[in-house]
Order: sequence, then structure tokens, then C-alpha cells
Amino acid sequence: MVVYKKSFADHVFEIFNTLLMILLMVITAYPFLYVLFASLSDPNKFIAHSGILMYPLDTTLASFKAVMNNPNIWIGYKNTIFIVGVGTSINLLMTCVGAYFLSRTGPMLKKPIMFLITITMFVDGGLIPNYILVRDLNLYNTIWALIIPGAISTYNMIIMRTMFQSIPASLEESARIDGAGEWTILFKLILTLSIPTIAVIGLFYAVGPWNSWFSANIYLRDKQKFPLQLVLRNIIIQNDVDEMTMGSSFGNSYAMSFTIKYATVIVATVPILVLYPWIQKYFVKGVMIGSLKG
Amino acid sequence: MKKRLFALLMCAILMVGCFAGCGGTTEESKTETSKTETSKTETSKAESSEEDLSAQPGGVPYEAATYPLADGSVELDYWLVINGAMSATMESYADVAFFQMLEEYTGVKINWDHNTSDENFSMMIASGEYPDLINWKYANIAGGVQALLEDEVIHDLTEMIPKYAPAYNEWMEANPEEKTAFTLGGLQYQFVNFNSRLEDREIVYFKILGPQIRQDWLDKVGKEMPTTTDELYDVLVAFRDNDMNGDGDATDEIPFAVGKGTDQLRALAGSFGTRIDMHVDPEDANTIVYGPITDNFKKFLGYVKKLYDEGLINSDFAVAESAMNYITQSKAGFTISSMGSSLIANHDNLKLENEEYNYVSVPWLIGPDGYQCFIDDSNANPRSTVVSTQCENLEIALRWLDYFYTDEGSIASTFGIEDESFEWVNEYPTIIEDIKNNDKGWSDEQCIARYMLGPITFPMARDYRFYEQMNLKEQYQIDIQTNWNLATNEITMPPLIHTTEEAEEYSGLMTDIKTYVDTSYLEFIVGDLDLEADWDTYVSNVKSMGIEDAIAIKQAAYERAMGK
Amino acid sequence: MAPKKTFFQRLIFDLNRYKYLYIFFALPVVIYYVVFKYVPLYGLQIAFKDYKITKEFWECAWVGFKHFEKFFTGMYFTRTVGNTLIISFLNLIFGFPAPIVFALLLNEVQNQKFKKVVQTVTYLPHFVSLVVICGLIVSFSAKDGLFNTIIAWFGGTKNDLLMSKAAFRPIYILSGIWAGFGWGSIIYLSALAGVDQEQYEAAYIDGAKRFQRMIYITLPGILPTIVIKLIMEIGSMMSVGSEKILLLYSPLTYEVADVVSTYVYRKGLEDNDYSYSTAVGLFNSVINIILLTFANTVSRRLTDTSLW
Repeated sequence: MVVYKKSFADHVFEIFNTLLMILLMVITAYPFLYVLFASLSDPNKFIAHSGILMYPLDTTLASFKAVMNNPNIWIGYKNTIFIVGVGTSINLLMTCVGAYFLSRTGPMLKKPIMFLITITMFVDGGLIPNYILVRDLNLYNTIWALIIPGAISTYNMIIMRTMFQSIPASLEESARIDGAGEWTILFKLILTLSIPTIAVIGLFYAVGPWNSWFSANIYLRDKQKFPLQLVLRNIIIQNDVDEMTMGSSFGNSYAMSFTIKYATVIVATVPILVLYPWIQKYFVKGVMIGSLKG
Repeated sequence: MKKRLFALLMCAILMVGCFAGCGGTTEESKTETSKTETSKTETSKAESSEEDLSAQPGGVPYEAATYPLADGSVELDYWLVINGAMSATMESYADVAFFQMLEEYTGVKINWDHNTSDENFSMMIASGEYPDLINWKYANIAGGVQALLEDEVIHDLTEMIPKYAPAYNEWMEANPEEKTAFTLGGLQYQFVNFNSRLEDREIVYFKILGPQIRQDWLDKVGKEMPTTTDELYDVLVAFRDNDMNGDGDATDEIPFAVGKGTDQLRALAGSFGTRIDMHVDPEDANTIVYGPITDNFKKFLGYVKKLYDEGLINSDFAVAESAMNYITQSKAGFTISSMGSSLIANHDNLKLENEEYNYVSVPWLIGPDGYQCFIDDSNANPRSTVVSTQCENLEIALRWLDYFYTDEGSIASTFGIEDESFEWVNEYPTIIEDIKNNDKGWSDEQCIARYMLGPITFPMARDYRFYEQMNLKEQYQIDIQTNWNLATNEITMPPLIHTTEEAEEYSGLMTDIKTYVDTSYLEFIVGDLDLEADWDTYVSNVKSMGIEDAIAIKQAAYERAMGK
Repeated sequence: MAPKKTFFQRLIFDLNRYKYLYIFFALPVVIYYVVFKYVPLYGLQIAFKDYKITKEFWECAWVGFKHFEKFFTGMYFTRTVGNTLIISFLNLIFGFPAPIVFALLLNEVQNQKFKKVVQTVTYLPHFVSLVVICGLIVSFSAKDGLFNTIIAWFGGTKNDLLMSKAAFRPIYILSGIWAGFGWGSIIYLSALAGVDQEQYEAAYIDGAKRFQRMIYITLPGILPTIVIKLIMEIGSMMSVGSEKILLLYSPLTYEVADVVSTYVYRKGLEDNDYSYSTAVGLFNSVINIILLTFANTVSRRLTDTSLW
């Protein structure tokens, strides 16, 4: 390991860089802090307030209680964890397999296939044909309707392919000379070298279900199968629908509907935030390709 | 926007019961009235039951329902949004005590499908598999409800309702205005939610949008309650020039708080006999005009421009999220808001923060030419229930739906089960207080909703006495109704029906026209366009974009609706 | 030199040579794409029909290019398409490099713990819904809001920024950077992690300065990722989403803010016409694919990196 010596310019740069990073943290942390403060605020105080929030107004957990009291919330957590766990595994498997093929230089059909795959990012048959397809495949009202149709994200697969391509061809050749087949090359060499990318693509896939309710809303009927996001959305929407009832007779619930929105964001986000450092450790540190060569 | 209108109308419907016939009376006399009303109901009930077997007011013979309607083997699929008060404490409507009783009473089992959204509706219709009963806001769907009728997704119930839903029919016959509003030129297809007063078979609507002012500020500057737009202007000037909120800064007052969407401003157009859309010509009830190109609108713009130029409205009125910020910070003295708005919902909470704070309603303002028109929201369409063509038990379905409009069903659906969730006290249906007790932190509303449909929107004739028992009795809100109801409906259009071709042509024209008009409207106010120099060009531009054709479409539909 | 073979001979040879690749790697993916991406494309036919949700696709009558004509001849066609391209272009110039620059700078942070914290915090806005983000933008842009405080501090005059045509696009782009650079940088950071550390050491020993190392080792290391993302970005220039603009614009700023998707949204409020919106979507797709192909071709010639 080489020990780096720093010049004066290096020190100046580092100080400014650190300050810049701190500034960036301050401005990007704010929206989330705002949500956190709002969710902890007293509903009546919150709606009487305007502009930015620097701390919770009369801290209360009332909004969280209202969200957590919903009977469906734990079912939602359970389903989402299943979807994220099983879904992301399938996503990563399919994406790696596809990206591996597309990163090969040999096969003639690679380019046309790549083109046809890329096109699908821009054309879409629309909601109704997709709905009919899911129904005809007997996926309707099953949790698989949220997993299988989205097995591959073209965008992620293209990113993955780019990473695979950037692995030096020499490594692969020497592996082939040693008699390695396609699977060996994929698993032993390419995937090992691409762990940072796989971690990130995995994160992208995992965050997807945490942030989306739309397909669940269309493809699921059974409350027992709803993912967390749909449960939370229903809590928000239904509080919205009742605006007029509450407005006239139940002022307190009306005010609560605002802070509930923020509480749901926190409830939905915290698990993925907890998970993040674990994923992060795979890509903050550089890889030593040399160590694999030896 | 649509959602807001919908909210407004829903609010109107929900407010009806409380204020019907009791505005301005003291509480004691109200109870008196209720008593006499109830006894009247009893009599009319007795009378009507004698006639029951013979004929409807319309002269159509029908067979009275006998309960149970079925032997328990009949099931109906009901697609309907679940109300938030209920979804917070239960899985589906099957858990409501009233529905459990109803299932036993009617012998009909309902399978509730509460997974509803705009997309779900489209998917459900597109998939070709419909539930028996579908509850939705039909004004918002492509091609309107006509498309559903034309393509035989839902039943035309014109013949069937008098026969199998006599109670609902009776309400419609007794309230011709509502009948016009809820049918397609007489074609019956839906069951709607309304508030009912059994004794005179009355469905009543209230104005749910109107002006409000800080009474404490008025007192401070020694002005009378404004009744005209000119008086309002004087009051606003006084608000601007004085340190109303007493913070030592006489310049931070925003006399008239206006939020994005500019609804607050637009509502004022009514005082000038116009609105920023199609409306009935106030001078000629047979003609439809497009408001934004009328001279009345020019006058209205002139007035608003004056308010803007002189700093009487907040300068960010076109983009401010809502007027609430200014109101809660005690910077504003006047606004126009809806019944369901946070201003009214939180009036008491805000008062706790600032005890001077006292918003009161202002009588609907009269414009310089004497107009006092309400800006209608007939475009809003509340949710209603229709019967799909895949319903195999049409007669039972209709009879089941009709139950909610019978004298007995109206009370039962509103208040739930006698002696369980309500009891008759001096012939007055009184909610039993005990049902509000719970150890789960549920609100009163959520508790009540476990027993009865009173707090929610459901196709039924909700008994108005439900609202008398909610905390709506404050003089504050009763005054609002008296004051806002001064507005007239003369420029309001009835719900109009278009053919698919008309709807397509109209939307094709109006998207561009509205884009242009909405922009010009604001540009006239902020001064990017000059009201004198640019008005004629503006009008001729709108005309060249085809407004005459759009007006003709509305005119034709209007004439059809008026039966000409 | 081998005799020239026909296309099919070469194809058969190729399929045979790479049969494992084709069967185990290409086939599952191709099946997925055919079933889930290509089969539903029959839905695009409604762009050329008058579709009603109450009817099956095949039952609806063909109307040719009616819906396209309606869109093209609309008064605001050029304005909305123009705004869409301008906003995308601005985003390409300012929004696209932001996460790259951030990733490069963050990569220079030596303290691993600090680095992790910065990264975790900056990606947080991704989890805050657009409605909340836009609510904050609105209150920052108000006359007594944060932006105006800064403007006044620099001697400018306070203004209702969202009512001004000049300020809309800067606000839109800058807020996009604000909410998106942290999340956007993750992919570059992972690419950076893939750069061989030995190269840095070798460069250091050869006397390369920090900035030189950044330009000659770090940047080339992530260049393929940058190029591929850039190509895809260019290929989605017509797809400016409506949600954020709807939350920020007003009729006063339509002139600079009204894009194709917001226009279609407003038309949908009048009449929810699936055929029309499908036609517009198809038009966008065609333009996107043309731009994508163009960008891909240029990139293939210039950088050796391309999608196909």
C-alpha cells in the first residue's frame, strides 16, 4: 500500500471539499427533516403554521399512532418484504443473465436483440393491454403480478451490461484458457468484480416496490395481499376523500389528515434507510482488481 | 380542480340536513320544531302506506317489496370506495353493524369490493367483467355515462325504477329539480346520495362557498359589514392602511387572501353576473354565453385588477398554495372559502392561538349591476350507484337499493339499529352516546361509522337529524348558510348531456381556449395585458379559436335539457 | 482467408458456436421481453382508432391519423413540444453533470465514515414525495421566502419567483438537481468503486497530481457509464413528466412551462380520451427513438461506447 503525501494544494482542496459536502448535506437533509418534523407535529399547530419548519410543533406521536393502528399496516409490511426479497432476487438473476449476454462481443444477434430491448424503454402498449395480459396469465390478484411483469428493468440491465463490459477482456481470456465455461465466468469472475454494481442495481430494484403502489392498486383486490405502499396510500387517500365531512364536523381528524401524510412517508422510508448502510458497504470501497489476478 | 368541486358539492350535500329549516333558530325552538316535524312524519307515513299499493304519483303501478327479498342464496357484488372513517377500523362494509342487520333482513349477501381508483375503474370496464352494482363519479369518465349506457355496460333504469324502486322514485317525483339533475333528460340510471327531510319529502342544497371576514378587524376600523363589491373595496383599503394585526407594522396586512387556482377571486365573478366558463346569460335565461368574453367579465377584471394594483390581494395570488397561510398568520382580513375548508374546520383551533381571531360570514356580495350570482358547481358529480348489465338479479338488486330510500330504511341506514346505536327519545332518533366509547383511540366519527351510514356518503336518503347531533350547531356556521344562500342561481347551468361526438369536439376546442383564457385572465390582472388596449384583440382571439362552436354545443345541450 | 459465407450460413454457425449463451442467457430474457413488452404493444393501435373503454380494441373503428392531426394542428403544439425539448436540454446541460461532479468530489473525501454519512444524507430527498418537495419549493420561492432572502442579500429585488416567466426554468432545473443529485450519484460511485486502485498508486508514484489523477484515471473509469446514461437521457428528451410541472406552474408561466405531458393532462380533464393520449405518447416515442439512435450512432463513432 502506497502512502499518499499531501501537498498544500491538496490540503486546501480538501478543506473546501469538506465544507462543500457539509453544505450539500444541509440542503439535502432539509426535505426529509421537514417531513420528520411535520409528522411529529401537533396536527392543529401544523395546519396553522406556514412556511418552513425547523422543529416539530408540540411534538406528538398521534399521527404515527393513527397510521400504525391501521389493521392492514403489518400485513403491508409483510407483503412488501416478500415482494422486495423474492422480487429483487429474481430481478438480479434475470438482469445479470441478460446483461451478461448483452456484454458479450461474439454473438451476431446481440446487436439486434439489444436494439429491440432498448426500444421497449420508449414504447408501451398502455395500461389496458398490460392488465389483460396479467389476467390471462392468471397473475391477477396474486403477488406475482407485482414481481413477474417487472422482472427486468431495461435501464438497470443496460447499466449492468456497461459495468460488465468495462471488465478487462484479458481477465476473461485467461480464465477461458484455464478452461472456465460461461457460468464459471459469470459467477466467479464477472459477478465477483461487479459486486459494487450489483449492490447498487439491487438497491434500485429494492427501492422500486418501496416507492410504488400503482401496479398493486391495479392488479390486487385482496387486502391480505396489499403491499405497504398501497396500504399507506389508501390511508392518505381516504383521509382526503373525507375532507368535506371532517371539515364540517370533525375538525380534529381534518387537521390530522395532513400530518398523517408525513407520518406515512416516514413509516415507508425507515426500513430502506436502515438497510442502506448494509448495501452501501459494497460500493464505497474500491476494488483491487490486481488481487483477483493473482 | 374537479376534486375540489366534488368536495364542495359533497359538502353541500352533507350540510343539508343540519340547516334545513332550522337556520337562525335557537336550540330550544329547534327541538320543538323537530318534535312537530316528527309527528308530521308519522302522519304522512301512515297516509302514504295506505296509498302504497295503488300507484305512484306518476301513475306507474308497482309492487311493494316484501322482506326478506331473497332466501339468502342471492349475492350481489358491490364495487364502492370505502370511506376513510370506516377503513380505519374495519376491513369492509360487511363489518358495519347496519349492514349485518340488513343482510339478515333482506336475505341478500353483498360482496364488497373496495379496491377502487380511476385506473381500477377503467380496467374493470375495459376487462368486460363488471360487478352487479358500481358506485363511481360518472361525470369524470371518458364519453360520460352515456357511453356506458350506449354500450350496455349499465342498465337504463327508466322503466325499472318506478316499478322496483318506488321509494327512490317518490323522492325524485317530489323534487323535480333534483330529478332533472340526477337523470339524463328523464332517463334514470343511478341512485344518488342526498339529505332528506321525510315530513315534506324535501331534498335541499346549500351554497357551500362564500365570503368571510374578520369581524374583529371590521370593528377596529369602525366599518359596517360590506354588502356590495364597492363597500368591500372600502373595507379592504381600510384593512390595508391600518396595522390591523397590531404587530407594529402597518404594511404587512394582506386585506384579501387568495390562493392558487384563484378560486377565491373567481367566485367574485358571480357578483358581476359571470364566471370563468360557460354559463347562462343573466339577461336571457335561454342563452348560454362564454363568460370570459362578456362585458360583465371585463368589469369583473377591472375590479380585480384594481384590488391587485392597490395591494389589496396578495401579490403571489396566482401561485400561493392556499390563502390559509395569510389567514393563520393573522395577516389577512377577508377571503372566500368553502364550507369544508381548513378555515372553517379550524376556526376554533385558531381562536385558541389568537383570541381576537373571529371570522364571520359575509352576505354574498352584490356587484355594481346588482348581480349576486353563485358560481355553480354543476360540473361536479357526486358518486352514485348504477346497476351493471351483468347483474343477474335485477329486481332484487333494485329493491335492495331502494330500501335506503324507504321511510324505515332511511332512518335505519342513517342511525343503524334501534336500541343498539340509536334510540327514540321523544320521537327523535338519538344516537346512543355509549357507542363512542372505545379504548383504541378512535374518533367519535370512526366509532359511529361502525354502526351506521350517517357519517359517510352512500346512496341513501340520509335523515337530516343525523347532522343535528354532530357538532355543527354553532351560530357561526348557521349564519354562514343564511348569508351565502343569498346568492342566486340565475347563471347556473343544469347538468348537460353531450353525445360522444359533441364531447370530443368540445374538449378539442376548450383545451386550447382555456389555456389561452386562463393565461390572459392573469395577465390582465397583473398588467401584462392592458384591459383597455388589449381587450378587443383578446376577444377576437378567443373567437378565432372557435368559441362560437363550443358555445353552440352547450346551447344545443342546454335546450335539450330544458326540454325545448 | 475463408470463403465468404451467406448470411444464413454465418447465422447458423453463430448460433451453434454460442448455443449455450443463446439458450441459457439470451432465451429467457428474450421470452420475457416478447411476452411482457412486445405482446401488449397491440394496444398502440388505439392511437389510430376511436377507442372507448366499453369496447374491445378490435371492435373500435379505424380513424387513421385523426388523433395525431388533432395534436399537430392544436394551437399550442409547437409551444409544448418546444418547451419539452428546451427543459430536457437544460436538464441535460445542468442536471446531468451534477451527480457526476458530486461523485468525483465525494470520491476525493478521505475519511470513509464521513463519506458514508454524506452519501446517506444526500440521497434522502429521493424518498420524499414530489408533492412535499414542490411544497417546499413554493414556500422558498415566495416573496418572503428563502430564495428572495438570498437575492436581496446580493442586492436584488424581491419577487414572486414562481409568477415570473424568467425564473420558472431555473427553479425547475435547480430543484431537480437538489432533489436528485445524491441518488443519481450512487451509480457513479459504484462505477468508481470498480476502478482499479493499483492505477492510482502507479499514477501517484509517477508524480500525477490529484486533479490529474481525477481526469486521467477516475473519469475514464466511469466514462462508459456516463456515456450510456447520456445516450439514454437524450433518448428520453420528449418524456418530461407532468407531475412536478403541474405542481409548480400557473397560467402565467404556461409560456415557458407548459410541456406535452401537462397539456395532455389538461386535455384529459375536459375529456379523458385514451386514443388521443396514446397518439401523443406514440409521437413522443418516435421522436425519442430517433434521438436515441442518433445519439447512439454519434457515440459509437466518438467513444467506442454504444448501446448496440
